[in-house]
This record gives sequence, structure tokens and C-alpha cells, in this order.
Amino acid sequence: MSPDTLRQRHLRVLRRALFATALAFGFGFALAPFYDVLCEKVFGIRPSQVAGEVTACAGGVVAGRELLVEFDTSISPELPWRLDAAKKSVQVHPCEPGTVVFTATNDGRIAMTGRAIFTVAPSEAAIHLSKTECFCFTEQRLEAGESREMPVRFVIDDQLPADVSRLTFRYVFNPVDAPVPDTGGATPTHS
Amino acid sequence: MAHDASAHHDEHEHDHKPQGFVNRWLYATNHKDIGTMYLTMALVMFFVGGLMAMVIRGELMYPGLQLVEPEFFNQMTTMHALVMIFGAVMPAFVGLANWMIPMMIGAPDMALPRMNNWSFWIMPFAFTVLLLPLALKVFFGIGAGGPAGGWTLYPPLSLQGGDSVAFTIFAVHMMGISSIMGAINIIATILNMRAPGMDLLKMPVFVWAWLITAFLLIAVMPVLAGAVTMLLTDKFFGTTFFAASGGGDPVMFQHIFWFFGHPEVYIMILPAFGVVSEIIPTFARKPLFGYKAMVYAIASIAFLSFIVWAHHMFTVGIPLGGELFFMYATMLIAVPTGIKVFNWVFTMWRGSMTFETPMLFALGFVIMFTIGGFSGLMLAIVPADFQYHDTYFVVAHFHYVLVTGAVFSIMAATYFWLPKWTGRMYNETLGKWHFWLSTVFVNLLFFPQHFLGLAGMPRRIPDYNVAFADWNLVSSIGGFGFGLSQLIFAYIVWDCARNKSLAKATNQVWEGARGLEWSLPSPAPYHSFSTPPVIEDGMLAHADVAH
Repeated sequence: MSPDTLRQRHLRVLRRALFATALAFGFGFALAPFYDVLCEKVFGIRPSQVAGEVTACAGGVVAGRELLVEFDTSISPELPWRLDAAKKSVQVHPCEPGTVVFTATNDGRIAMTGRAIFTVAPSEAAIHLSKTECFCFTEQRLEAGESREMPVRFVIDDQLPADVSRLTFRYVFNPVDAPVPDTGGATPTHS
Repeated sequence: MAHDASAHHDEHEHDHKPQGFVNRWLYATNHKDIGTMYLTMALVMFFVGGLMAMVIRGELMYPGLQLVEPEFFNQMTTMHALVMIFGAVMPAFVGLANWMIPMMIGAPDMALPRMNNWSFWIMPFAFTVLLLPLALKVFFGIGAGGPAGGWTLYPPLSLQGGDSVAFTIFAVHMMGISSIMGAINIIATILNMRAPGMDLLKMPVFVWAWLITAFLLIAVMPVLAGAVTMLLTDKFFGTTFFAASGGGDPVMFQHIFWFFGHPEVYIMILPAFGVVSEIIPTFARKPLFGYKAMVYAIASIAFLSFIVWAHHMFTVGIPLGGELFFMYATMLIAVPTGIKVFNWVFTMWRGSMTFETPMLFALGFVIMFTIGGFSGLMLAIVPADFQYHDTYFVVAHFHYVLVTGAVFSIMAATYFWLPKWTGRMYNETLGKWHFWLSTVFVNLLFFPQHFLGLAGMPRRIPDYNVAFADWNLVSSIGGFGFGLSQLIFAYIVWDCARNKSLAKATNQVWEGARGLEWSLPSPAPYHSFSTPPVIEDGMLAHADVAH
């Protein structure tokens, strides 16, 4: 074998390997847009917080099935706010509209804008849940010391998997366009 | 081969090594020199990472906070993992590949020697960048220290860290580039440079293991690069791939990370399988049992590694169907792994075994890696994993597979090939001391962590409930003992490389050794197989495999 052909074979391996490397690098990024699609189509989870349409519920309220909906709230450390639900939990039937009132208070000295992120557990309940009103749909601006009552109205459809009887709604308030605080250069161990 | 060997007998005069330190090492293109540099750097990093482990065990020796601040403790756990994975285990295996693959397949050098130089010399810079924030804090009191959010860099915690995140990400990029170039080199060498007669299915298992590992590296290191790049833009450029406040999903990072992370686990263990598959037949004086099954088992494990990633995140909220799929897929890995363990045992069955240090480490590997494999099976069971997740049980599991698995195999390989590298027999008595001290202390170190984990002690904490005190004390004593025992290893290697009064090694070194590397003189000449060797009957370990 002449050295030239060996060199060509090395370069062929090199080219193919670099091409594979580029593909793998792209694959990592491609997972980002595909992630939501895969979650919804394969597992019936909707990771994004947009409320869905209630497609079922043609049969009206399912009186024979009770669902316990619990509420959990937290605030990003950068936001000097409080968020409280009027009730820790509510009992609803599938297809029956439920309402709970949340109160957000700005304990800080300046007006700030926050946006609440919503998640529901178990995750497979997400596509069976729809909300007609939620403070998480829009940004909320609170003046210093201001307090605001915000109702959340929701319906859970009758297609919810039978083994789900307890749901947790979780809201996390994050600041909008606030400067990222420097926590001193490293990850805080105590919050 | 025989006359070739005698011609090179007076090796130092005829090797045409490059003269001068810079020419020899900085511009190194010789696979043996580059292998030596990789192995040396891995040993240094092993002690750097080990020192961090000593800080961790020192703090955990007693309940309460004694030695370090929690913040610094978290930096230690994070950096210990990054340094050991990317600085010790992976470069050690690349070093072994550089040294041994060309000699095992009858090639004069690696396929792309200049790229080989580059892939090594990126590493010292990568580790300078990685260790810089920590070193500045420790030695000069500048800044806040290294990353402390765990080596997995999960957001949002890693995004809340300081600027050390940028150093870590840049270092990970450089290490990734280095690994990928090393992998390309290994694939090109194995595919293009085998001596005539060295068919793919006659190659030593170590070469096979590295070929498959190299493919894994090319497939997943870029995915890690992508994940950390997204982390970087999330932190510094306002994107929201993982930041929930902008519609991103932190769980997505875990999926992408472990899509890299699980094959990475096998990147660190497949070459170990290869090493052990070379050593056990040598000291059992029998051919490897089920050679083809061994090769196919490695390939199966590599394939399965791509479809099990979510078992690292069972508790994150995955739907039942997903949990079941990842549970069964994970358990399936026990089948090819079991084939390997049984074949090693069958290789020893009725062999005329001797127990030199490499064999001791290889046997220690088989037994203790299997313990780690079994605890891995326990962790694969979803309902059980909810109990074990993020406890010391997980710590015990992955240290059994990585320390008594990967690290023990690297030590076995070092003792096995050290006479070939230096031309001298290392101090066998000290080697046996090193093995037995390491084995006793490593079990004292990690076995009690199973109990701690089952009792509920969480990972990554500097302080704990007093109920966990006794086993933590035992574990810490084991840790210090294991750490100190490794000084013996460093001494043996240094002694073997420098001490001219040690016994000369023969060409074959070990009585039962088969394969092309043993047909070369000891020490292996600087340039070997400049013309392809003529392979004779009985020279290869796997030449009589029926196709």
C-alpha cells in the first residue's frame, strides 16, 4: 500500500468522524424544539404552561368522582414578594369549574414586575387541565407595598387517567427583566 | 520479529528520539511519548481529585461542621467528580490506548500523530481553566471559588452560580474537543493501520473495547458540548433553554445531559473490560473464553447505553410508561454484562493461575465491579429508586464501578504493561502490598455507604444526622487509608521508571502473555513495527477464532 492511499483513508475517517461530531452537536440543540412535541405526542405531557382547551366534558360534571387540587407557591429569591392561596386545597369533580383566589404582595421598596410559572403534578394531568383565568397568563406589576387578589379559574376534563385523584398546582414567581443578582460568585447553599 | 528485536537491543543509541525537552515532549508525535504524558497527567489529576476526596471525607468524619464551610464542601464534591472523570479516568484510558493500540495491532504509530499531539496538549490548558477559580480562592483568596452545583451542572442551581460556571463550561468544551480528536485518531488507527493478518475479529479485546468506546465518544461528547453551550447562553446571553422564567424547562437539561452522561459511564468502563480481558487469560494461561461473545457483549452494552438515560432521573416526574421503558432497558444491560463476568470466570476455570499484582487487580475488578453492578440493578428498579435516589447508596454504587472498576483496571493495566514500557520488573512485593491495602481500605470506604444510603443519608451534604455518625467514621478511615495507599502506587511507578538496579524484563514479560506487543523487546523501542510484523502461529491470543 502506498503512503498516499493510507493518507487518503485516514482523511476519509477524519471527514466522516467530523461530520458525525457535527451531527451529534446539532442533535443536542435539536432536542430543545423537539422536547415539547415529544412530551405531548409520546407521553401526553404538556411541559409548557399554556393552558389547553377542554375537548372532552360533553357528558357534563362527573359527580361520582372527586379530585383534590392542592396549591403550592414559591417566589424567586430576587423578588421580595409573597404569594398565598386563599385555600390550601379545593375539592372538585371532573368538568366542574373550580376557583381559587391568590394574593400577591410586594414587600419591597420599589415597584417590580413578575411573571408566574405554572406546573402541575402529576405531569400527565397537564393536557386534561384548562384555565380560563390565571395571573400566570400575563406579567404582573406590583407597586411597593401593593397587594393584589387574583382568581384562578380552571376545569379538569373527564378523560383524566383514572389513577389520578390528587393534583398539585404550583406557581413560581420570577422577576421580569430584573438584573441577575450576583450571589457572590458561587451557588448559594442555603436559601 | 526475532532479528528485529535483537537489532534494537541497545535501544537508547538507535531510537532517534527528538533531542531536547521541547522537541521531545511539546512537539511530541510519538504514540509512546504521548501515552506517557497522558498517563502522567492522569496520575497527577488522580492525586488532585484524591486530595479533594480527602477534604470531603475529613468533613464527613464526624457530624457537624468542622473543617470547611458548606460552600467550599460543595465545591469539593463538584470538582472531585469533574477532575476524576475528565482528568484521571478518561485520560488514563486514552494514555493506555496510545501506548498499546499501535503495538497490539502491529502499527508503527497512531494514524494522525500531529492531531494526537494537539489532543493531549489541550488537556493541561483545560484543567488550568477548570481549576483556576478554585485555585485563586484557595491560594490567593480571590473570588468565590469553583463551581459548587454538582458535576451534573443541573439548572437552575448551576445558573445561579457565579462566573466559575463559565470557566467550567469552557473547560468542558476543551476536554470534549480533546476527547473527540483522540477518538478519531483511535478509530483511524484501528481501521486503517492493522498489520496484515490482524483481522478485526482477531484483534485483542482491549482494541475492540477502545474502538467501540471511540464511537461512543464521537456520538455523545458533542451532545454534552451542546448542553453546556445552552447553559452558557442561558446564563450570560439571556436565552431561556432551561430557565423556567422564560418558558424553558430545567428537566430538558437533565434529559440532554444524561443522554451524554450514560454513554459516558460506559466510556469509562468499556476500556476497563478490555484491560481485564487481556490480563485474566494471561495469568490463567488459557485463551479468553468466548472471545466473540465478549466483543458482541461490548457492542450490545454500547448500544443499550443510548436508551437508558432517564434512569438517572426517575424521581423527576416521568410518566409511568417512560419509567417502565427505562427500567426494563436498564435491567437488560445486566445480560451482556453478565456474559462478560461469566466469561472471565470461565477463562479462569481450570486454568493454571498465578496471582501477580496485575492479576490481583483484575480479580478485584471482577468481584467488586460486580458488586457495583448489582447495586446498579437495584437502582434500576423504579419503586426502589424512589427510596435510593440522591442518597449515599448511589454514591456507594458508582464508586464501586468507578473506583474498584475503572481505577482498579487502570492500575492492573499499569502493572501489566509497566515492564514493557520501562524494560524493568516493578517491585512485586510492594505491588501486592498496594493491592491488598487498596482493596481492604476501599471496601471500608465504600461498603458502609450502602448502609448510610439505605438509612436515608442524602448525597452532597457537609453535615448529617448523628444517627449516621458511626458508618461515616468507618468510611472516612477507609478513605484516608485508600488515599495513602496510592502513594505506594506512585512510588512503584516512579521506581520502575528510574531505578536501573531492578531486574530486566523479558520480551514476553509474563509467561502466559500472547499478542504482538509481547513480541517486541522490553522496553518497547521508540519506533516499533516500522515494517508490518509477520504474524506467526500462536503469536496472537485470538488467532484461532473460527469465523
